[in-house]
Amino acid sequence: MGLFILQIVNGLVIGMLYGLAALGFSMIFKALGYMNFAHADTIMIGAIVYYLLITALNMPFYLAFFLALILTMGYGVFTEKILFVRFRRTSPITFMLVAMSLSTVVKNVTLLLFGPLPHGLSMNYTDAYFMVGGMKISLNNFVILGIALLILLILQLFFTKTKFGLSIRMAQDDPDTASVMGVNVLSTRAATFGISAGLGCVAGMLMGPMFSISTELGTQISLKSFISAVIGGLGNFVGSVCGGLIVGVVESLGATYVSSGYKDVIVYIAGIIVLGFFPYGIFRRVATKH
Amino acid sequence: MKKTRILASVLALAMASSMLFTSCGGSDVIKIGAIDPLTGAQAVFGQDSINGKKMAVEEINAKGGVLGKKIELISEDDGAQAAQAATVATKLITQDKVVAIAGAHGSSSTLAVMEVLNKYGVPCVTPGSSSPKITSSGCEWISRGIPDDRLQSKILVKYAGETDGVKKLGVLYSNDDYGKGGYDAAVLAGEEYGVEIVGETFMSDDQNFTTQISKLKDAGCDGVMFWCVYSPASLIAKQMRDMGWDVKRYASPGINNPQAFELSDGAIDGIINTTGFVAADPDEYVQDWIKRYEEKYGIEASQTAAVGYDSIYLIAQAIERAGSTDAKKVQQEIRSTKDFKSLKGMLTINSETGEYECEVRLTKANSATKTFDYIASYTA
Amino acid sequence: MSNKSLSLNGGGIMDKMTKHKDLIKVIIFLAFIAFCYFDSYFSIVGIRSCVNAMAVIGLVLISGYTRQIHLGQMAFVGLGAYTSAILMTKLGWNFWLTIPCAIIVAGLIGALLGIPTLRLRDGPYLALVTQIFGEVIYVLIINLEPLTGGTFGINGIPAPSVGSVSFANPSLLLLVTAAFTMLAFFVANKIAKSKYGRFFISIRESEAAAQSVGVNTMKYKIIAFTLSSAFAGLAGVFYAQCFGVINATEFRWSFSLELLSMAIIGGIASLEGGVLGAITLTVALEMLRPLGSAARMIAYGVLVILVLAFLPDGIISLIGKRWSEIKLMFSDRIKVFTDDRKKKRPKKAKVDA
Repeated sequence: MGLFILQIVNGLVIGMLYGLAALGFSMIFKALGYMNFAHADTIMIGAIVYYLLITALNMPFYLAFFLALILTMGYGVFTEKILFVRFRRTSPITFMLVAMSLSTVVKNVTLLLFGPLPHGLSMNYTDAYFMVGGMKISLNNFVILGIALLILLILQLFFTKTKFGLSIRMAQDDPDTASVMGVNVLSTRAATFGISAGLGCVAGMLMGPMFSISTELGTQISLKSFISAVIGGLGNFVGSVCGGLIVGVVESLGATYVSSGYKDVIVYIAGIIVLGFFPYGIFRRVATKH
Repeated sequence: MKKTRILASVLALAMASSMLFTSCGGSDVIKIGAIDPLTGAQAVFGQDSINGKKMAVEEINAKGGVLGKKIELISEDDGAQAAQAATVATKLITQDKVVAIAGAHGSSSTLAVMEVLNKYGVPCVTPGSSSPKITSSGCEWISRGIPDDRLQSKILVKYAGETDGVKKLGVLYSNDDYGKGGYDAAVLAGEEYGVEIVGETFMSDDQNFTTQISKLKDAGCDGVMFWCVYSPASLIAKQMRDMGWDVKRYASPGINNPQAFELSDGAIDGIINTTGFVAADPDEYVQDWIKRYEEKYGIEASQTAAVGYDSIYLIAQAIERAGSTDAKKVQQEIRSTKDFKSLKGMLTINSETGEYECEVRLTKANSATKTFDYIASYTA
Repeated sequence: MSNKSLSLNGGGIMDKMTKHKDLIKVIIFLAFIAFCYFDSYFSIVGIRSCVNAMAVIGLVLISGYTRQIHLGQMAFVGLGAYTSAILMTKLGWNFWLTIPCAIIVAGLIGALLGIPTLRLRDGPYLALVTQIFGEVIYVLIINLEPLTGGTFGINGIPAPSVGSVSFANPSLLLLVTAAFTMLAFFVANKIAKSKYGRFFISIRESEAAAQSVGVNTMKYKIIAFTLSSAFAGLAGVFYAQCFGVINATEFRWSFSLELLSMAIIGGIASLEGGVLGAITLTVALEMLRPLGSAARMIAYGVLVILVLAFLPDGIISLIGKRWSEIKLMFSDRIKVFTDDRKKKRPKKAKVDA
C-alpha cells in the first residue's frame, strides 16, 4: 500500500512537469496549428539560466525563479519575432522542421557555452516528510505540485481577467475575427510564444533541483509531453495538464507493477490506444464547453 | 544546357571541396586517430577522454615525438553511435592513414569499430569500453586499457557478500551496453558468492528513479549496486537519500568522477566502487599528472581523462618499440605491453586477447573531502 | 544558347526531352557513384547516401505525395535492417533472400500501424504515432536480447555474395546498393505516374475535394504508408550491410527527422528531389566533419533553416531554371520575409474584449 501511494505521488509530480511542458506545446498548436518541436529547449534554457543565476550570481531562489522566467519568456518572444513569424504561412511540415533545426542550433550553442558537464542544484524547499506503509514521502513533492498549480492559477486569471489575456485567447480561437476586432494578432502570437516558453521554463526550474542540469534536460520528456498534449486534446489547456498527470501516473505504476524496462513502451502504447478511442483527446467535452 | 550545367557545377563543387578536406598529409608525422563521443548524451566523457589524449600527444611531441617524428592526433566524433563510429574509423584509416586508433568509448561503438579494424588491419586501443564482448570476440587488432566489467562486477559482489554480509543485492542498471554488461556479470557473480541478485533497469536518459528504488526497497534488498555512468548514479544516490532508504551501496567505475559529488549533493558518500584510476593515489606520477591536467584544462581530472591519456602513451611506446609504423608490428608490440607505467598502476596487456591485466582497486566515496578513498586492490 | 534550348523545351518535342532528362538524371547519379567508387571511405559515404535515398523515396510517397507527416521512417529502416541481419546471422539465410523478407516485414508492420492511425483525419496523429512507434521499436529491440542482441546490437553480419564473388569490399557493395537504389527509384516513379500516384496527389491538394469525387482517401493514404515502409525496409537491408553492424540507437527518432529534412531540403514534392536531398545532405554532413562536432550541428541546423526559408520547394526547384528566374525567386522570398511583414502588420488598436 505504501508503495502504491508513493508511486502515485511520484507519478503526479513527474506528470505535473509533463503537463506544464504539454500546456506550452498545446498553446502554440492551438494558436498556430503547428507543432513546435523547439519547445523542449525552453525547459533546458529555463533550468540552466536558473542554475547560473543561483550559483554564479548567488541570487536567492525566488528572485532567480522570476528572473529566469522573464528571461526565458523573452527567449520565446525572440524566437517568434526573429524566426517563427517568417514561417507563419508555410505548411505544418516545414514549420516543424524549422523548429527542429532551431532546436539543434540552440542545443549545440548551449553545449558550447555551458559545456557538456551536468550540474546539480541542491535545493530542498522543505525537509519535512511523512510515512505511509513504511515508505517515506517527502513534502517537497507537494511543494512542487503547489508551485505548479499556483503558476497555472495565475495563468488562468491572466487569460480570463485581463484584456490582453482575453485578446490572446480570442486570437488563438479565431485569428481573422480577432484581427477584424482590432486585436494585434502578431503581438498575441509573440505573447503566446512567450507564455509557452515561460511554462517550459517553470517545468525546467522545478525539474532542475530534482534531476541534473545539462543540455540534455528536456529532451527526454519532450515525447511524453507531446503525448500528454495529444491525449488531453491538442489545444485544450485543462486537458493538457490532466494528460500530463495521467501519463506520469501510468508511467510510474507501469514501471512498478509491470516492468521497469518496458515503462516507456507502456506509456506509448497506452497513448496510442487512448488515441484510437478518443482521437480528439479524453477531455473533448471540457474543451467544447469552455 | 543551363540546367545540367548548374547541377554539374554543384556536384563538381561538392567533389572538389570533399577532396580539399581529405587530401592533405605528409609522412613526416605519425598519425594516431581518436574516436570519442564528443556530442550526444555521452559528450561529457568524450570531452574528458580527448583532453587526456591531447595532453599525452603534446607531452610526447615536446619530448621529441616517436621515432623522431611528431605525433598528429586526428580526433573524430562518434556521437555515441555505433554506425557513426564505424564511419569515422573507416575515414581515419583510409583517408587519414592513421597508424593506430585510440577509441571508441562506448562498447557498442567499439564493437562496430572492430568490424572495420578486421577489414583493414589497424591496431586499436580502447580506453573506455569495458564489455566482456570486446576481448572475447577474437579480434586480433583490439586491446584495452580498462578492466573488464566481469572482473569488476565480481569483485564488488564478492565484497558485498563476504565483507558486508549482503544477502540480497539490488542491481540498478542503465538499459544500454554498459549497464546490461555489468548486470549480466553481477548475476553470474551472485551465483558464485551466494548473493541473491534483484535487477531493475532504467533508460539511459532517465532522470527519475524513484519507482525502481522503491521496488528494490519493497523487495527487501539489503544492498544496492548501480551499474551506469556517474550522472544517473549520482541521481539515484540522491533520490535514495531523499526517500530515506539507507543501505550499503556499491557502484561501477562509472561513478568515479569528481562531478558526482556536486550532482548528488554529497549523497554518494560511502559508496564503494571499483576503479582503475584513483585520484587520491599517492604515487608521484599520478599526482604530478593530476596537477598538470588541472592546470591545463582548469577542470578536475577524471578517470576518463586518465584512461584516454594512458591509451596514447600505450600506443606511442608500442610504436617506439616496434621501430616502425607497420601495423602488424605495432599491434604485436601493443599486445606484448608488460608492466607499462600507467595512471592506473603497472599495466600488462594479455597477448592472446588484448585484455587489460592490472590491479583493480576498490575505493569509497568521501563527500567531506570530495575524493574516492582507496580501500583495497585486487588482481584478476 | 540556353534561352533557345529552354524555349525548345516547352515546344513539341516534350516526350523526347523528358526521356533526355531522365537520361541526364541517371548519368549524374552514376557520376556520383563512380566518384565514390575509387575510395573506400567515399564508398561508405556513397552507400549511406543510397540507403538514405531509398528511405527518402518512401518518405516522399507518404509525406510528399499525400502530405502526411511521418516521423518514424528510420524505425522502418531498422525493421528492415534487423529482419535481414537476424535472418542472416541466426538462421544463416542467403543475403538475397532476406531482401524480400525485409520489405514484406517492414511493409506489413507499416500497414498494421497505418490502418488505425490514418483513419484519423486532420491533426498530427500520424506524426505522433510514428514518432512513438520509433521509440517503441527501440525499446523492444534493446529488451528482446536473445533475438536482437539487445543493446550491443548485431555484429558480424556476413557480406552478400554471388557464387564465389563476395561484396565485402565497400566499392563493390556500393555498386550493388546503387543498383537497388535505381531500381527503387524506377519502381517508385512507376507508382507515382500510375493512378495511385494521381490519387496520392489529389489527397495532398485537398483531401475533402478528393473525397467529394469519391476517392477513398483513407485507403490511398494507407497504401502510400505501406509502400513507404516497404522502401524503408529495403533501405534497411543495405544499412545493415554498410558496416556489418547494427545497433538500436541508430534507429531512434532524431534520425527519422534527419531523413525528413533530407526530403524537404531536396524537394519533398518529387522523387528526384528526395534523392537529391538524401545525397546532398549525407555528403554535406560528412564534409562538415572538420568543423568540429558542435559547430557542425549548428551549421547543419542553420543550413536547413536557410533552405526552408529561401527554397521552400527544395534544391530541386533550382534545377532547370535560368539565373534570372532564380534571382526573381529569391527576391520574392526575401520580400515575404521582410516587406510583407511590415505591410500586413495591423495598426495598434485598443482591444475591446
